[in-house]
Amino acid sequence: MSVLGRITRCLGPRVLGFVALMAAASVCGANQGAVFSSGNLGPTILKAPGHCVRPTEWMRHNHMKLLLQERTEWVREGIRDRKDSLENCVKCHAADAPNGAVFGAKQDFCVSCHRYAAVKITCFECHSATPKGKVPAFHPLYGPMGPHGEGANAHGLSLMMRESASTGRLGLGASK
Amino acid sequence: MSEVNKERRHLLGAGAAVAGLVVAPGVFLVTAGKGRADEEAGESGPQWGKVRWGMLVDTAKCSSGCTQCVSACDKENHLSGETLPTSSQWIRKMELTDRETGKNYSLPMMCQHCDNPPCVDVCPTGASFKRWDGIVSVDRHLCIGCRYCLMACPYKARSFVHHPVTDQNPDVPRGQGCAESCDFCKHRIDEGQIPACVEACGSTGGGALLFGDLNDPKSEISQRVATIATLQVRADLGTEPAVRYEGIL
Amino acid sequence: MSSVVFREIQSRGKGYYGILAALGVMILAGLAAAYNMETRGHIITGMNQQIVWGLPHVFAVFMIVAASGALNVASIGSVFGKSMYKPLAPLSGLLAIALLVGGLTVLMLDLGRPDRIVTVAMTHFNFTSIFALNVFLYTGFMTIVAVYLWTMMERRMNTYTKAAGVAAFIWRLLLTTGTGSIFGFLVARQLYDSALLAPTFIVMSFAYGLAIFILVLMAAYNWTGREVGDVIMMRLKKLLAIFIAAMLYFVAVYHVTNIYYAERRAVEAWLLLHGGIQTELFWLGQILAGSVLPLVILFHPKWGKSRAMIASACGLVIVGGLIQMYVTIIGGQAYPLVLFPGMKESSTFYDGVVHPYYPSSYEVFLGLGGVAIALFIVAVGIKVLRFLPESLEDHVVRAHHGEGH
Repeated sequence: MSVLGRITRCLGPRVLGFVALMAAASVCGANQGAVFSSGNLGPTILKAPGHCVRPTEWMRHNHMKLLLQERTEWVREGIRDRKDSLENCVKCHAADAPNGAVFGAKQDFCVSCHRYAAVKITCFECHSATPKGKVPAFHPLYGPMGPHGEGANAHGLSLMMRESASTGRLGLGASK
Repeated sequence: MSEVNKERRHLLGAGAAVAGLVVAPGVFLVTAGKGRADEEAGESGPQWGKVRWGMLVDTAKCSSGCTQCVSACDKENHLSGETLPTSSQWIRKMELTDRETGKNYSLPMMCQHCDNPPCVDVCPTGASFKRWDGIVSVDRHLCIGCRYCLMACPYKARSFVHHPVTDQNPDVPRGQGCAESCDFCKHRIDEGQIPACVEACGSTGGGALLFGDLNDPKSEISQRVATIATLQVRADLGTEPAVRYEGIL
Repeated sequence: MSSVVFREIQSRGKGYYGILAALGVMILAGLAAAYNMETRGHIITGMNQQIVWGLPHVFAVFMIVAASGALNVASIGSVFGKSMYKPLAPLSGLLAIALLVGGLTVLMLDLGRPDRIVTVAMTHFNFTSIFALNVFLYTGFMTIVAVYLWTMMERRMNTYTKAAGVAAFIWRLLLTTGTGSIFGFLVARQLYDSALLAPTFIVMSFAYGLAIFILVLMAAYNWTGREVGDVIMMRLKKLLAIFIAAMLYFVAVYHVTNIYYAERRAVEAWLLLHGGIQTELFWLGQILAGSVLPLVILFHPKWGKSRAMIASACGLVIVGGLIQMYVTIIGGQAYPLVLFPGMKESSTFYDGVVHPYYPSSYEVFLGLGGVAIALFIVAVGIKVLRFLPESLEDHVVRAHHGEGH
């Protein structure tokens, strides 16, 4: 605790921000899975049909890292066979949304939690928040499993993401 | 990092490069010579220089009133189709008149997917990049909107998005404050299709556009550019475009 | 520097705070313009797909070029050993930092995605890009000049002033080379593609920087009731004249070279003869007002001795410099790219036609906001720290100058 306190004092508001964010995330985690609206405590999260590409709890803490890695491969190398692409996230999580999108209205999947945690989403300034409604096709060259499927290295993480990941662990420690 | 690259690095690191050539010919021939050995090894996916997508424009078949390629591009990439000074235009029809002889030409102009792209050289963040298959495009996640690429491109192929964008094609994210340009419809190429303009030109246009792999000697485009005279625009600049024009020399 | 006493300016009057308030309003207006440009997009500016860089870049590049030039006076003092200039060195350094901060602020706020300055622009570098190199040249310049100032203003560090001054001088040459090369390396555009642009920018920086320095010096001293003597003023004025002449020489060589290339005769004919507003700005603004008139004034037996006329000459160099930047940046883009030499070109994307540019008020406010930031930094700097010598009257300067012999 004293170590944590010292780090918090040194790094100041930045870390506190992450701690607050992660504390918020663990509040979500405590109620994982179900559609919930726990009074004024947490965000209302829309449930998506089917199974996520990763466990819900893991996704709550790491979805940004997954998306960062996926985006690098998608944009820079043209690897589009990953199930954990933003396009697929949108497809699933917008399916049961009232307005058919993950971003736009307050109750939309991405917005509800990000609003609660006060983290800006910039994805949908460029990306479509509504799905195209077609089955993602696999590249005829490398097929569905390809050399870049599960377990690929988490390369390409930016400094900030790595930082947020490590301070994220710090924040979790503090809340338990 | 693909498995093949990892393995190659490992082998090189162990100082077993020569032995590797014997033990794992498939792995090494990927770089030594593209093609057969590669397929035999079952190796596929992004490998630098394996593919180089290119286009051949037959200006004799391109008529001056036809804008099928432009409309198809606008539709595919959800561009407005407007031609204001601030509008993005990924492909445009150019009308040319020889100043001395008076001969007219009509042709489409778009990103030439240079081998030495000036836009990539000048980009401060590496957002402007050339893909393993020769496609030049913008990684909008890294673009800061400095517009240096618009200044550097000899073909005026880049556009800058001047206003907020909504209603994007889910396959083609694009947004305010970033540079953008023709990317040969890489989202279609990655799914085994040809660019929208080429498809449209073939079906409702003059059939002036031929698309294919310049690095595959058996492809139609390779065989045509090997037998007829073609022009690379501003070849003097040494950018080595992947788009070539025939009938205009 | 034992014989020269440095002191903060003492003004507590309405005048000083009035200036600060006015500058503050200008800065706020600039920030408001930038906020609008970011939220509503560059559609609200006069910039477009043809005129890619507009008025903000004119202001920004001018200030960045002038920043390195503003350091001249310090360099002459500590690098070339002209001790007469040493009392002016701290102000010279402050002005350099202030102008660079002002210019860079404009440049960064004009980005399409200014929100990515820290998260992307400072973490991802492509070193074939002059812009990426400039990130280091600019931050390095500020650091080195700050250290240089410290060695000047902290008595115990005075022994290192010369070393810091040499480093700053070399760095500023690199910096302006980098700024000129932003344009010089653009092979596609006929008015840019030239290695001459880097040295031309360096000479331009000498002239702009010195003109700004003289004006700020006169203003600071007049408004605070201090004196600048004739000895130092005549020196500075002669130096300015030499820089202006050198600038004219480089501009002449650049255009004559271009005219000699048959391929570039059309674009030169356009700029020099029938380019409309660009031609007028070039001849009347850049050449006549920015170079010829100041030269006439500075060398004139009578006008050259009048403080008011010297100040006007400095003002003309600054206005002419801004116009020179306008002609360089906007003019260079206004002439269409030549994709097919020998052909007449036309398209929906404005191929083959000269591109007009009508700057919007947002761009003007953003540019002026940057100027205000630079002046604000100087105004606050000379108030809180001892940048200015108490007197530059002839007897003080001569006494000090004497030490150098």
